[in-house]
Amino acid sequence: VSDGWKGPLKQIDECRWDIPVGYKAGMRTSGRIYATADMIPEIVADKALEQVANVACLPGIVGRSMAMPDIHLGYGFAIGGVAAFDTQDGIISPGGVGYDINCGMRLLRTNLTLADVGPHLTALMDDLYESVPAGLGSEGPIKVSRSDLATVLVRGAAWAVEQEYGWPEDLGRLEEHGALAGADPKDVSSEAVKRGLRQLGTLGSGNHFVEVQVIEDIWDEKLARAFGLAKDQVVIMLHSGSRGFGHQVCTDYLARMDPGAKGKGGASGGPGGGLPGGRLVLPDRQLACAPLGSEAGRSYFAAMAGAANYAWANRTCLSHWVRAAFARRFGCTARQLEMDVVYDVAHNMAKFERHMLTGKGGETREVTLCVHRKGATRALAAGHPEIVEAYRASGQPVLIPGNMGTHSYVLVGTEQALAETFGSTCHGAGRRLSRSAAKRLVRGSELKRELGLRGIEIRSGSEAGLAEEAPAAYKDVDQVVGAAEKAGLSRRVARMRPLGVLKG
Amino acid sequence: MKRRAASGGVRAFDHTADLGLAVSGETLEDLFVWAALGLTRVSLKGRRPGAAGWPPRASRPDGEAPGASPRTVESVPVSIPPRPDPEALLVAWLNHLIYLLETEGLVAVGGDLAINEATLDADSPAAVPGGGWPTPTGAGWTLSGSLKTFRIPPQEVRTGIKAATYHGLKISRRQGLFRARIILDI
Repeated sequence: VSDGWKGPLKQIDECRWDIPVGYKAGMRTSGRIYATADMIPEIVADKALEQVANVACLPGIVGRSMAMPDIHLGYGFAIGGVAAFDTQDGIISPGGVGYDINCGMRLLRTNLTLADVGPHLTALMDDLYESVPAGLGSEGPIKVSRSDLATVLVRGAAWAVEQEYGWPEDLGRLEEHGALAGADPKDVSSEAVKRGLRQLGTLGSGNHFVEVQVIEDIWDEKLARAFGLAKDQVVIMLHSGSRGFGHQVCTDYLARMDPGAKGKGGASGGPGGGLPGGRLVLPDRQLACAPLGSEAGRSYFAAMAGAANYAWANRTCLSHWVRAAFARRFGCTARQLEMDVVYDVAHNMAKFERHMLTGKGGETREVTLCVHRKGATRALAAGHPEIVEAYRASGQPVLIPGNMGTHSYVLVGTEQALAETFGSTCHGAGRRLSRSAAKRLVRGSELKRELGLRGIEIRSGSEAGLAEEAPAAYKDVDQVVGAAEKAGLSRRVARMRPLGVLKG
Repeated sequence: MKRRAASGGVRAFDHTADLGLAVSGETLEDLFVWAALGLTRVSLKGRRPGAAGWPPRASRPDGEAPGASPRTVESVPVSIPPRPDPEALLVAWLNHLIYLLETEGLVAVGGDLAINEATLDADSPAAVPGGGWPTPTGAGWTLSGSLKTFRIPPQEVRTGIKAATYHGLKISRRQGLFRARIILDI
């Protein structure tokens, strides 16, 4: 902790901490961190709070620069960061979205219970391991042409459904129906296209996974029913994103918007950017950005939306392999197993959204803002017009993965989140140990055996990769979700425990 | 007897969720070659720093595969269009290598590079790979040359690297060596 962040952190209440606007030159607003007191020592240890203060320096920021309870050090923005920008004088920043654009979660339900799946779990995990293309450099059986890819970038999950990798009704249970408007293949580089051609329908590596889970606890029976969930039910959680395609889009636009050393040139004033009134000096080069109204800003959004749509198509194809594996193992169809999508939600994205703002005189007005969520999940309350119709009456499901040894959660969005965080909550447990530190703690083979003793079947192409994702490498997800609930940003609906984990 | 200064090298270090490369070289070109070799080292499955013959010296024309049977060295022409400073050029260089590994299965084992600071005609903006957009100032740092590579199968890749970042990146010159610490997002 001694070499951690030394700035001022003012406690507002049990779950709210502010970095005052005067902490560093250039801050246009304060920073706000949602966390309980016992989480703070770990949060200040890694200087992520400096990144919260840096984001507060960006032009056109509306409201505070915020961080969810799973905050940790990122690049430019902290992971767990949320910031909204005015469409007139605000910016868009690839660093506010991250390299894995629309990295996100999907939950599939089944009509199976633990008693149904238990005896078949080993064989089922073997089936999943064979079916789901995973791991480093993984290429799937889906090869798309350049013109197909252009369609994927615009139509997202709908493309995958048309190719029979998904069910038509899936689309009604995906954020944005699986296609963010505004994507334009013309704004994507040939390098990104080349990376995208062979990776559709692949899980990837790192912290991406497919997990077979059983619902262990229900907090809200009515909402759980509305989401199609019940105690002892077996569900499948997927975590993946836009693969090398999204990484390349982020890389391309960081270069395009790069302000150069000492803030000279770049987006932030550069050729495609051009902030009115001169160049912007950024506190961190990784925060390269462009005005929303500029050519560079518009172009990045169009490319980012394409990557987001690639990710929705990707998770739809992954669901297809999962459904096929279950159907084969249980000798029936996926429809007979009622393997519907519960929901699919991004946690790395920038979106144009309508929000209510309250002025100094207490008057309210509705405005369009560009909300950046980097390692944060949208969490809309019941009745919000942007929730898919299936959940408009109940509120939007929020999917929170834990780690392979602990729980994952289904939460629901709240009015409080809309009022305070532009409808955002946490996205997962958040990392606390480096990958090397995790590997020093436990060997992949030991971890596999240890989890096996607890009834959790692990499949992974790489034992070293497995050790990097050891449960001890992550924060306590119960604590993170508890802090988000205490702060009123989301409410718990159901908690799952893992039965089998396929690591990318 | 006067001891000869170290001629540069690369080592990996821990960084929160990710990892970094501490790189040095007698010239900027050496630094960039060592950075490429460092990327190869962290990318490859089971290859350890200090293993016999690894990393191959930057100057070696036909570096051998680390700990593996000899493989064919492929020479690949490389060029990075103008970037505003050497740091941006290093980020672009490593990101280009990440792209080559993911799309062609190529890893760097040596190279012969030339780095220059170019002054460009403002009317003829240079292209950035895939982007076609002009450089911020119409001038910048360029890289060109040839990269010695091996083609490796996907199952030999140990660490998937999303990108090289600008996080805390600065190229400095101390004790006769150019030095940089660069963080990789993995």
